[in-house]
Amino acid sequence: MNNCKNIWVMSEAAKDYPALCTLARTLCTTEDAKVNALWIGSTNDQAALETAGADRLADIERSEEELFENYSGCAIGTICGDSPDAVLLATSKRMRLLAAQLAAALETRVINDATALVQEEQGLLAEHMVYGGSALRRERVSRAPAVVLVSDSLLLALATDDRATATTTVSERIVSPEGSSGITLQSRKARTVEAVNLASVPCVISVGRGFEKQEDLQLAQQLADCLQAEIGCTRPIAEGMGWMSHERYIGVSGAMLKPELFIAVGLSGQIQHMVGANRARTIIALNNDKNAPIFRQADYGIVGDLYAVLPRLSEALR
Amino acid sequence: MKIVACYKIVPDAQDIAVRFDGSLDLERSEWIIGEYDLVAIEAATRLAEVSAGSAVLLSAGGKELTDSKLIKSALSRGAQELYCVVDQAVANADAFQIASVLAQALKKLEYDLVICGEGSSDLYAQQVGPLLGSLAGVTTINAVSKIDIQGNAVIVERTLEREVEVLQLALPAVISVTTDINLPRIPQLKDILAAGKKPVTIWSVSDVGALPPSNVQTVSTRAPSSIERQQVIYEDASEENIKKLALDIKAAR
Repeated sequence: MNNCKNIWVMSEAAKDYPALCTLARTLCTTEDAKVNALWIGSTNDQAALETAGADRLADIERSEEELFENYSGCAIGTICGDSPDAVLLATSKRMRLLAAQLAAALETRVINDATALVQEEQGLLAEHMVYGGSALRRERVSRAPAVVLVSDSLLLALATDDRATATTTVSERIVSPEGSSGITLQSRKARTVEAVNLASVPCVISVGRGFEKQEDLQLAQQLADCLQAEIGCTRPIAEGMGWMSHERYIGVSGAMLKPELFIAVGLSGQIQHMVGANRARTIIALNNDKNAPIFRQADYGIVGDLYAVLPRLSEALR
Repeated sequence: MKIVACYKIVPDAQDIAVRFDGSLDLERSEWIIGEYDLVAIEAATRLAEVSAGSAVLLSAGGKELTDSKLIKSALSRGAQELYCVVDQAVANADAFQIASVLAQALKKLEYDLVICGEGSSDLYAQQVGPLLGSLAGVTTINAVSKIDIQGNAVIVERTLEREVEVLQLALPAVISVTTDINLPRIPQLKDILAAGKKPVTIWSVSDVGALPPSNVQTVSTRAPSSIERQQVIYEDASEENIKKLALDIKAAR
């Protein structure tokens, strides 16, 4: 794909559009290239969308009570009808589904979770993690169109950049009857999401299956209190055991952190978990198995029973 | 209700080694059923039980797929039958190509509901389920965390980032389930023995259709550079060592 002059961008959240448009501009190969934004939702966000930096805004009207997916068909028809060279979507569960539906219509695959996306002589090049975080894969689009799910981290990096504010956006309202996805929305409730952002705290203690009971996690909490740290966990603790909320799960499909200090307690150090924390400045490990892989990834470690060590360590740090 | 669960075999991530040049050595990795797909198989089996229906398995991949241990592992989890598309071309296929082959194979099966895992354990693109449903032209939904059968209706809960939707699905449908939906069973010896007697149908790609071209090429797959670590390990938890570790922690803050 050597020519990229018609790009569509899309997200569930209006706040993602400036970064998406900025990214799209970096991929254009001609001066007269067009960046188009597509939006499914209420008109309240119109103003924010119109100044996001797109040349054209296609706004598909949907009321809050209607199922988003019933408008996917209209969105796909609008985008495919305009012969795009690339479609960039901000990653979320809804967008994963929509990206796949769009890709199926365009007879290609989705480039998922792109942590880097650049235009090169030979075509669009993307980077994303594979094998549970063991490796980064670089992929090149050999034939347009490209459908790319852009990772949060890439969008965040772009959002902080200085960007030229919008050119004139041509805005068009698309009023389409609610389509049929074969799905009927019966009810919807907000999720009680624990308000914790592990990525923003300097010290994180992560707990694993070395803890025998949920009550025992208070031992880690005591250490956390001494260090003003937050507690995170491995996937089994959040998903298998359900001892902690998803928001505290660190790893390839969870939080990706870069704290000053990361303390791993009672976890073996599998790559799927450690990829979420191995950019920490200092890593401390506590495990009763001296052969646990975590010790090979640690700056400082102690071999011992966490039930014996944690109270004494907290005491020493108090 | 006739249910199909899809799975993919993947190299066990625990055994993936990194070579000096940063490339990956998969030779020592055993092939296993993707952990997210075990959840899909379990969901299909349980639904077949409550709806007095049937659960069959469908997969596409390279020749490793027909390894008798892997086939037994798949069929020891409650499904009655296995269909697989085996072709070396599929072994390195991308999500669109695999979904296309699965969609072609699905045309040979009768089904009300197809259940896929959230993503594969190796690439975790979370695309095959949604692509499969789109290509098959049936109701498609992802992030399903609960399935209920009420009469002839299938009601699912879909857990998104900030909300949970309760949705009724028109059948047939293809759904992807999250890992919250169940805890997959551990097959017992008698299940594994019984699995050896269950029917297995093997197709080639040309038996079901054709492999479409891929529009994306892999340029490289490399381990990210790692940070050098101090590797100071205290080998016993004596009072003295705990004090030393406390000092290390204080110095690092």
